[in-house]
Amino acid sequence: MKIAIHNLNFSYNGSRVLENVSNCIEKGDFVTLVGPNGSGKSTLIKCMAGILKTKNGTVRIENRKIESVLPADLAKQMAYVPQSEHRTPVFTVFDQVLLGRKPYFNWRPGKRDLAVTSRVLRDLRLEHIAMNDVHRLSGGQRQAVIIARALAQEPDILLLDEPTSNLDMKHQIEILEILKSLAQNGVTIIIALHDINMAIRYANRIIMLKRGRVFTAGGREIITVENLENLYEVKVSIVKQGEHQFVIPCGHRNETEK
Amino acid sequence: MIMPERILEQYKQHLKRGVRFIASVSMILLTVVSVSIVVGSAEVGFVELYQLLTGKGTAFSAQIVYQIRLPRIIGGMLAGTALATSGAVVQSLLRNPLASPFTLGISGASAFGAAFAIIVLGAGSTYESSNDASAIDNPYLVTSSAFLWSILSVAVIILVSKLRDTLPETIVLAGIAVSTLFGAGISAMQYFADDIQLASIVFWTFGDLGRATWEYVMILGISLVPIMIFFHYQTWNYKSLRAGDEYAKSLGIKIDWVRLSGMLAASLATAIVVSFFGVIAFVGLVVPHIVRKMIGGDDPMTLPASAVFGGMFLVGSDTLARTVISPVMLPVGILTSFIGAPLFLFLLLKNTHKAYWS
Repeated sequence: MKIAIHNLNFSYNGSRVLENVSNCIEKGDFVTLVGPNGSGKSTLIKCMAGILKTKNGTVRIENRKIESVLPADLAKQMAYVPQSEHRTPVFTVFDQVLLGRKPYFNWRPGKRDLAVTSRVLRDLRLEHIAMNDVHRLSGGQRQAVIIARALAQEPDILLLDEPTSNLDMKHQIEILEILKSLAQNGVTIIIALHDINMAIRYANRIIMLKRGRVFTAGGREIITVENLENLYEVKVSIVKQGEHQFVIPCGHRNETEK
Repeated sequence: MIMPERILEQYKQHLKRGVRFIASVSMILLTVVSVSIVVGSAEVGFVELYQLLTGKGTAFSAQIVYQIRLPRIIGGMLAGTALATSGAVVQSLLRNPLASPFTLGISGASAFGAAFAIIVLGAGSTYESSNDASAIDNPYLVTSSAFLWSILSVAVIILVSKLRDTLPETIVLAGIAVSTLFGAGISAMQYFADDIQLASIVFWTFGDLGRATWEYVMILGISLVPIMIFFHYQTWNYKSLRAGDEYAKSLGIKIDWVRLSGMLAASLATAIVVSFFGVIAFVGLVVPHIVRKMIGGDDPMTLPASAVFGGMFLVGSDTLARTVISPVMLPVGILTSFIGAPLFLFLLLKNTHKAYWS
């Protein structure tokens, strides 16, 4: 499903966080949003998810403004994975994932909701912990459950805000591999990531944000020393190994110049 | 690999655990009700009760059972159910384990309303009964005043949260402010009251199911049942809010409406109970925690289980209150805390490995 952002602006208490952000993301794209802290990645994700509303600029899904779509219908097309859940409710894994079916039912889940939940748990290989308390899980398992909950919404677009920030390398790769296979099946993935190397490795499109504006956007060709140094204001070098390239931070820009 | 059907089967088994808990508590409730009918200062044995049910009972036992004990028991069940369910809902909505409709100042406002009726509107204190140092000679005026003031307190809290934001923190803080304000109001009323008026106010603030009549039970039932059905219908919306406002919004849930309507319904239910029976502490705060400790934190069965447990707990406490130092009947509001606090402490110490709140 295609998502188009046009001249999006957003302010928190008068302070501008997003400024004239525009981009068009196609079905099945794996897009990473990268940029320094405070560059507006999370805000952009929340605006796209319809959690934050703005009067300046538009977000369209298949040419329909998201404001014109009923919230429950929007939730069937688009799922949001928050940055972190400080207060995870004391649910079983099954109930947590079943919560993702809420847009499809009113007062209690139906047979299809239960069936989809079971299928998602199996697909993500979480069936052995289905009846466990979410609090008893490791950080990686908990994050996988939150992604499973989003997948239970059967979305065409998945918006993820730093879903791997608290995970070790193994779990980061596991989560990103799941997302990659979803993208290959036509789900549009838009993910805010701090780890630039993971962003390069998995994305087919990268949007670099700086101080609320799109610094540059495109395929892997935009990963250049010049772009990254201007984006993060640090010295970097890029090392190529086979078909992969890796970014190595080399210290503060001014410090290195001295 | 476990097949989806097998996962579903495991989930159904898991749900049955909650159903079994509700069934067990219902059995205890039935036992408590049976005992409650026969025990008390007037002797009505099981044999007499059987005779009564088969149409062979005496007029005296019919009077005791049908006019005094049954309205008291059914009123207690309804009140306990309403208080416990409202407490569970408010705790979920505000994501605060210390929240209950009482935290929002409803009991304070209600007690102030009763004091206002007794002192300013002259609804009590002029009559002295043989049993009580003082009594209320116009209970309907006291009840109406208590109800209106508690609704006013709810309106103030909802207005403040609408003008500012509907964040749980704002609602809790507004509730504490309103509660303190009415606490000061009660103190002022008591300061200006004469001895008999003061005794009437104190007597009213002790929660007591002895005020129940069939008329009260009818009004309670008609007003509380729709609220309980509403809560049941909203269960999954409340569960979504427990996962965070932003996430709930992303599911298409109108979080402000869900939170405010839930708060209003919980406050209404509590205001109705408090205005009829006085302040019955503890049930709304601790029964949901006891249930969560027993069946798991945010189990889908938490609300119905709290409802049944609340009814059982209040009727059980009242039965004990009527009999523990018979023929003197203690107000149930005193007993609920005496029973509930040790029970809850015991449960807190037991199963410490099991998370039930976050």
